Amino acid sequence: MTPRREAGLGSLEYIGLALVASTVIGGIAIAVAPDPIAATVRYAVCTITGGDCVAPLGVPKANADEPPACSPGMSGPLGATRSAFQVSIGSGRTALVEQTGGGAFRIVAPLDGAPLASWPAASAATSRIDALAGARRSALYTAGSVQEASDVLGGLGRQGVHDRYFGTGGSPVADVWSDAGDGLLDGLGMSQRTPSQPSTFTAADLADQPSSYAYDLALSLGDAGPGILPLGSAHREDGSWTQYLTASVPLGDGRAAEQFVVELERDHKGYLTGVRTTSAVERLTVAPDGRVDAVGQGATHVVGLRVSTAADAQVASDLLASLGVQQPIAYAAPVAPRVTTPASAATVGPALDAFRTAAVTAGTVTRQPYSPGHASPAALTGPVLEPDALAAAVTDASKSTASGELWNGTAWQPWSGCA
Amino acid sequence: MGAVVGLLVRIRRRRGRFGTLPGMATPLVELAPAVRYAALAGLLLLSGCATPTTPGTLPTPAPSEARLTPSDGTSLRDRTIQHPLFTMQVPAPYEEERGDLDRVTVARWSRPNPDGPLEVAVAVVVESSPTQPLADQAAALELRLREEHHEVERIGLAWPDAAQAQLISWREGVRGTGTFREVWQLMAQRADGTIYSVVAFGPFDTFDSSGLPEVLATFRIRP
Repeated sequence: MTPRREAGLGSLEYIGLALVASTVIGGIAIAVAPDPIAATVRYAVCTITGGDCVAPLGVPKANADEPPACSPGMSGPLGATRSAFQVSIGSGRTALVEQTGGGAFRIVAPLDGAPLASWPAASAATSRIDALAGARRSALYTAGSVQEASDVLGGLGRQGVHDRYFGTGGSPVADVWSDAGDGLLDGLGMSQRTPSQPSTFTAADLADQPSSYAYDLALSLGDAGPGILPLGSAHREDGSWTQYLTASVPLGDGRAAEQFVVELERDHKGYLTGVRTTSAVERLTVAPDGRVDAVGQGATHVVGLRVSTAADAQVASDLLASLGVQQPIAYAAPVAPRVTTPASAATVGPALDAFRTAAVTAGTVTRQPYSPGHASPAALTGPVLEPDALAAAVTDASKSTASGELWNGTAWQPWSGCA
Repeated sequence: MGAVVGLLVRIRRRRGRFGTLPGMATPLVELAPAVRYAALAGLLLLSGCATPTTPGTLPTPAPSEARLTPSDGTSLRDRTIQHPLFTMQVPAPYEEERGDLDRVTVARWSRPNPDGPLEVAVAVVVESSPTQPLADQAAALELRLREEHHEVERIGLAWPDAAQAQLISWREGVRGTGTFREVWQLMAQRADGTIYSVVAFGPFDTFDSSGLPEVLATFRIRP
């Protein structure tokens, strides 16, 4: 029998050994690892040693600062909407197809049969945000070209027909019936499949439960300070997700109140990996020292910053704090416990400018000028196109709408598409 | 009025059928809602999965000492808000903001703080044709706050001219300041379904002496 006084010694020895080993291994790893990984290791070590820790970043994926962002799976191509179309996907359903300023496409397919709504972060002007009035849940797809978009639409159409007549399986008999349907549709030439693993957007409950958001509504009222309200979130198969908020900010200094959408990109653990703002301002001026200013309206600007360094995290943290974001945000890089003034009109302007300035040097800044043929809510009430008419409609729209532009650090440049 | 609030003017609730969803399984047998709910209730009872962190629609039992009781507001005679839907007394210096939305009206009275942020305020949000009852919305609020790691208390109250009423209170950190804010939300539902949410918030340390509980206590529904 183990003497009473020695009970637990084994555990203590193990903990001590683990502490030493983890510190040594962690130190080596920090020395050799790239930054994002080093951040993770720093966190792991500091949790063991009891230091003042901050949460780690997940390894950042391509998102906020990847200009064309044609890759599917993210919350959507970076850039505001240039033109938008309703396209039939069969069975009386329609999908919204948006060509973004960078040439990529976003397809929004409602999952609950509700009317379509313009995509919040891509609205030509944030004053047109109608996401709250739209579908509660939508499947999101991205495409790098009009052909890829047409393929997605074809797949959605086939999926609708299949599910309507052959179900989706779920039992041995249903599986056989579903498989038979696949074979039949393939035989009929409907071979386009819906891309798997789309993002799913879920609107916030604000529209259905305004009383439960009374506190948020109270904070949002008037010009006494910034107001921020939830729009919803888009979740991806890999567990990463994007949180959408809308903010109204009186900027002062003669500048009109600015309304914009804030996107918080989070990895599968919830750690912040990027921040994007979409706002309707006429121009962003960039001074020689990198300071950014925004004036007026007339174009939609999208500013993205991937949060992968302590400096990025601090800028993002200051911006969110100035907006009064209440949700807990976890950062990888250490964020100094700087005492800031609570959310107010006085603090949000400088924080927003600092965010834009950081994005100019380390992130991405794009703009989509307005033009007569620009995307508008009219696209949501206009004619419904057949999928094979999409390419021609996009071509026509491209003649009457300006393409997006990308700030390259010194000047605005045409933003070539990703096709 | 803030543009954010303005966008809510366009809120239109649209009922949509649950159609065939891309990528989602569609049940071959549709159960009647009552059967589904009964089955769900049975499963919950059998599994014993009701926990204190999963709020139901019923509030927690009322504490022995009520935190908020209606009063006539004799100490707050400075100013009486005469709204068509409610009355309330607030200190005279408080500044007023109002917004009329679709189905929702918002009014806020706040202690003036010209060079600083909003600190002490009380707001009334009236939802005229709610699509979800008070109990459900109060439970949703409590759940959301708990998910954000706030300590929440939700109690049932008796309130004049209200068919039912609840008080939800929580404390939250004011980011970057090291200070905390106390928030009380009194939710009351009139017999016709209208939901009133009276939200008072101020610094945690001085909340009790801020006069906000007294302001809340003067809130009355117009019958």
